[in-house]
Amino acid sequence: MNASSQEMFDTNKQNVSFLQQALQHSDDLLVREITRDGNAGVLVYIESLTDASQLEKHVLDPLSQSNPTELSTLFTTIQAKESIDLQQGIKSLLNGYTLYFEDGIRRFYLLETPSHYERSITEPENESIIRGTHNGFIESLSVNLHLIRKQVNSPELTVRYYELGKTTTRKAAVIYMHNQAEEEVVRKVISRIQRITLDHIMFTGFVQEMIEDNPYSLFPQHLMTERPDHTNAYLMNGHVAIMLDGDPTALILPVSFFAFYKTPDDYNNRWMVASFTRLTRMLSFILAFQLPAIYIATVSFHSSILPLKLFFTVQGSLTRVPFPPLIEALLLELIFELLREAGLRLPSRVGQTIGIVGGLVIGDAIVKAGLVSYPMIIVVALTAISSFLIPSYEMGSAVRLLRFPLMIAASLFGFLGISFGLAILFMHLCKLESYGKPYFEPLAPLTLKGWKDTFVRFPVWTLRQKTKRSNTRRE
Amino acid sequence: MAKMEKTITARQLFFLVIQTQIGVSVLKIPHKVNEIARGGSGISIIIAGLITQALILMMWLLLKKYPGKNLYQILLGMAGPIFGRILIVSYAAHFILLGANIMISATDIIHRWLLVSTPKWVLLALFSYLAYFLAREKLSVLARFDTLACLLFIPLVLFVGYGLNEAHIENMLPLLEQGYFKIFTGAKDVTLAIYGFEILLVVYPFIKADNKQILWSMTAANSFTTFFYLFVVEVCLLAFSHDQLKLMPEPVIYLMKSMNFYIFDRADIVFVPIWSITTICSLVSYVYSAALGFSDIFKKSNHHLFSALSVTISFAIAFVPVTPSAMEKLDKIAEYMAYVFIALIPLVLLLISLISLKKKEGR
Repeated sequence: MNASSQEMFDTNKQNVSFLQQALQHSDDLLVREITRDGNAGVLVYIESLTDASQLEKHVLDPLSQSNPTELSTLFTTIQAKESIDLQQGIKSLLNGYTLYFEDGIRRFYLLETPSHYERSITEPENESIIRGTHNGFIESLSVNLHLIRKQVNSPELTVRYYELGKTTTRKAAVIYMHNQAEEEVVRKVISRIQRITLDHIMFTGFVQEMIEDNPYSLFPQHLMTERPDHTNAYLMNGHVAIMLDGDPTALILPVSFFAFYKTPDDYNNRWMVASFTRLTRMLSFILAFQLPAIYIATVSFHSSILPLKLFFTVQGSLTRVPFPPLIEALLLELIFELLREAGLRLPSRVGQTIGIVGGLVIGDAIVKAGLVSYPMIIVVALTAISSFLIPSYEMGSAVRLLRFPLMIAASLFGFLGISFGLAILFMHLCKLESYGKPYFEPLAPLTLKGWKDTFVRFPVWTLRQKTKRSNTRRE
Repeated sequence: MAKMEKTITARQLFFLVIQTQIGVSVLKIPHKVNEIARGGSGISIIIAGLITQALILMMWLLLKKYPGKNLYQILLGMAGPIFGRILIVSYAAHFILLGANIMISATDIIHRWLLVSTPKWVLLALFSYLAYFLAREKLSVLARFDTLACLLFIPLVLFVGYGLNEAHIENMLPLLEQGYFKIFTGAKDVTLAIYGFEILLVVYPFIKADNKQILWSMTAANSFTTFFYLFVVEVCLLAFSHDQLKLMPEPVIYLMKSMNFYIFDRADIVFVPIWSITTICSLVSYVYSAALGFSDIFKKSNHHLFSALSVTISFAIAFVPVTPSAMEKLDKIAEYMAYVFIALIPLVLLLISLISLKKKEGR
């Protein structure tokens, strides 16, 4: 597409041949000639993108009617536009439109006849919950917006469309509640989206990487979810969602670190239970990356910290292992990562076999062979389980990566290494800001009010809904 | 000149100040005070707290007269560009020296208690890197981290409080064994440990609060530190006798060492890493203050490079003294420098500003 606009030619033939040339004489570009009231007309459409029944009902039927009417009121498709710009015609063709040319009229018609093939609305597999709505986003933006609108029937819900990409364009939607979202954040999001200059946007991940504040940080700064109820909850709290046509993932922003540890289940359970499970999840954050480090530091530096009986137990199984604890841990972690990745890419029936072979056979044999000690197996297994407790896949992966530097620090400097490693981690988290919002709130800056819905969940009536437009809260 | 954005709240100031005040010396203070004041150590600490409060009041009076300016800019305005810059450099040197002092003591303690065979320069490098990592950031990030790190006081207080199990009231009696004079001299040693409130001189224009709130949070911070020290010292005095304390340079760690909980023995191994984080916080404050001074001299709005510079100098200084007597000498230098920079110069500035304001009113 070199020229941004191209005025149409005089004859149908010229127009059609221009379109055919522009679309490389592709075989699925169909041209159908008809006569209406003695005038030669031509329908042009891409077969693979057009719905045959719509074409027949709303375009061909009206055209074949005997009584002549004005063209502009003839077509019964939902959208029927007139244009004289062939470039616009090409764009519309690629979006499933049918073009109608007629000799003697210096304009043509763009008729909306796209075909839709959509998967049914099912619960996303990686974000299943126990109670609550069991629907999920699918690969169609309009269906996704439908799912959102249906739950949020408020006039404040605002949707803004943007075209992303230069070679192939994708429709993106920025969704927010006008009275809840902070103006500043919305403005930042929109200006960043408009600045994206990639040739093609394939995944939501592309958008995320183009608009996030700190691309060099390990931590995800947008919450990715495929759940409409999750998205709606955030929208109602003044967050902004970005969705891409053809992708079931919603990007939610600005989010804090702790958003990745919340699930819709928290709000369907009774609040005490919900608080308990949330605390368990927080504990899993600590365990997921610190446990191996603590173990390494303990056995290689500070074994005097262990009470005497425990010391003998641990020491007894350690004496048979020829490697230093770090190597031992890295070996097991490597095995675990291999198993995880293998299980992920295989069909689920074979995946189970992998789990049995990996977990039982290798785990048992590796200790019997004297390569790894039993306590280390326990530690690594606990770590692995903890890392799966995190509801967000992105955050889970980030935390899984974190334990490697911490393990190395622990093996170099013992407990001091761990505390310094954690200090660096928390300094980094304190530094992160997402769209002008501190990422580690409500821990840093410390706002006790925010704790009501962070580590625990207070009863719903204490979580006051606030309108952010009127009082913009800043640290 | 750095653009003065109001970035921290009065509450964050509170945490910033206590983190700057409470550093290495918390481990040593019971030993030091006990040498002079014995049973009256607690009184010494309260006296030191009161002196500090007076100094805070003085600084506050000075800063109040120059809204939107910190000490460096006041110096530049008052003493002229050349002499002012010399003064700023000496202030920065003072902060760097204090930073180096912290690093020396901290690495010394870690070297003796935790990582016996790790070379000291490695520990110094670790401290330096961490200090640089945080000191190059905005003040609001510093304040956030300090606030977060204050959560560590909870385990610290619990650990130290556990030492009350071994308390014997007769250990700390009689209170006035050494006489009032000794108790006052003891207060002088404590004052060194309470230093850190001078960070107010540097961060004053960044605080998003009115003067009254600032004074309140400074007072609250100082009281917190004083009472924290008081608590630590009294626990140590109760748990150990004078003769024992004389032999222990870091009585708090000894106290930890003797404890055992059911899941772990040797609480000192957990205690020292936690304590080292609060040490880093005060180190960071000093490095940041020095870096801010440099950026004021060179009229740069960015202090990245200068914090790297300050950390490097601190590292170099901390590298020099290897013998205990050299360390003690450095301690003494830092102490006397502190008298000049924290008490004398602000006092002179305050007097000058009072006189000059009087003159203006007279006209």
